[in-house]
Amino acid sequence: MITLNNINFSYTSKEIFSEASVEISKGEFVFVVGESGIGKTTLLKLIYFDVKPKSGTVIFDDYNSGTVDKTEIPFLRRKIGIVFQDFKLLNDRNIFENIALPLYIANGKKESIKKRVFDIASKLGLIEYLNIFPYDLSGGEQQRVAIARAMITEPILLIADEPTGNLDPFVAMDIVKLLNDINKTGTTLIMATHNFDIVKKFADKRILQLKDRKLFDVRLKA
Amino acid sequence: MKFGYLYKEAIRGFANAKLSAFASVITITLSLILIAIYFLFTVNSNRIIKNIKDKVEIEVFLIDDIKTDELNTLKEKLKAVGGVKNIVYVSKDDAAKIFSEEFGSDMLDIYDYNPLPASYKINLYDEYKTIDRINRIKAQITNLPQISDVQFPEKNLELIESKTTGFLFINLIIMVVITISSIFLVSNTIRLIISSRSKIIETFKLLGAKRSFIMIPFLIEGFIQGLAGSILAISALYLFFTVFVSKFESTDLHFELLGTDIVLYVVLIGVTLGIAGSYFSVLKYLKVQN
Repeated sequence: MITLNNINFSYTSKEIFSEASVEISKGEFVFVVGESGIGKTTLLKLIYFDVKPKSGTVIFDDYNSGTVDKTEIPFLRRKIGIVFQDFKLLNDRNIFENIALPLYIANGKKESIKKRVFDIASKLGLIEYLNIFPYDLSGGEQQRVAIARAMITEPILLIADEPTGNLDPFVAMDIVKLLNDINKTGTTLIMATHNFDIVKKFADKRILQLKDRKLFDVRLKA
Repeated sequence: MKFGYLYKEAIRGFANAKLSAFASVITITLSLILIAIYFLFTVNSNRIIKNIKDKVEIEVFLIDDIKTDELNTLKEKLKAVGGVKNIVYVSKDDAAKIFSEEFGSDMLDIYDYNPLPASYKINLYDEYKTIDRINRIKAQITNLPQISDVQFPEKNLELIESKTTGFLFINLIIMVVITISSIFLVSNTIRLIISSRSKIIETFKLLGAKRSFIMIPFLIEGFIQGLAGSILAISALYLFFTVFVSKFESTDLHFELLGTDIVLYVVLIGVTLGIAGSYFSVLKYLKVQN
């Protein structure tokens, strides 16, 4: 489903990837681990084509970074749900409208939008918050809204960038359990984290480590 | 794509940045007032120049004992000269009448005969109303035996010719300055609004929004701002000209003021400024954002 082939990528003053390769199959749950600033977010950005590799190719579904047309990128992103580190909830609209946004973008019908938002909000325990604004919610609640928004279009891939970064350990664990449940329904899941406690608790998952500008599969010691 | 949703986004944009939107409307208003005043200044200056030029004619004075058949032959000869629009015959009696109308006393009260000569007044096409061309015409006809003298208002033409070139040059500079500063001011103000909503643009993009989905609400906002700016500018100009016209209405100068066409131009330019300002600002932002 996702192939990174000999990727080279660098920002002006820092090389992030050098000849990095990896394959991720449909339905996998992958933790991406590594020190802060090593390139976890960049790896995710490469997958949703927010940045382009200097050389090498990224293939997601039918899209190839080397041949993709700019006008195709919005359609590629509609197949991916993204949970951002800073949530990226819009404070100028209520929770209903935040969750519904990807459906409006994908030109959904009003009635179906309403039904789908209510469905996902009830699954994630957000029904009572639909009429209030993001700034009135706690960090954990905002993260649930972000996950609801990412899942509303039933994407084939869910990317979560440090989804537990700003949460207390109990709420963090709840969020990862929620992501695990989503993965069990068949959605491929990639979660970047530097929280090893969480990774240890889900030791059966695949762990990709970023080190020395490359990607390695690692196994935790029992 | 649902226009209703995009329109709602535009209105939400206004609500999010009320002060910036107000600043943008005021900027458009001021730019339009400048453009309209400049436009009216140009139109009216050209009108004054044309007015003076319209009065420029060649007076061909005839000898006293000219015969009727010679008059017709001469008229045909004069018509054959290039650039003649029309020719009017002014008899000795007509000349005396004009004199008494203009000076308020009868010629025959001063002299016991009418000393004024009959004449042909030649009106030329506008492009022939230059000192050079009239002098060429003058040279062609001045030696004809039935003609005693040929005159035209050389001084007036000299004035128009010497001032028009400078006027056109200054006009061009003013036009360039006003246009550039208007576009600069409006697009900068709009860019401020757009950069304040960069997070929204970025989120939309990452959630799979097409460029048009991001762009259209800003274009609607630009349109509304342009429309509001033009309505304000027209109102301000209307108030100004109400006072201005009352001062000048007793003179014989007929100024071009806020006609329907100018109101339409102002609205068109205002809306274009608003939409173009939004378009280029968002475009620039989308490019920066990759």
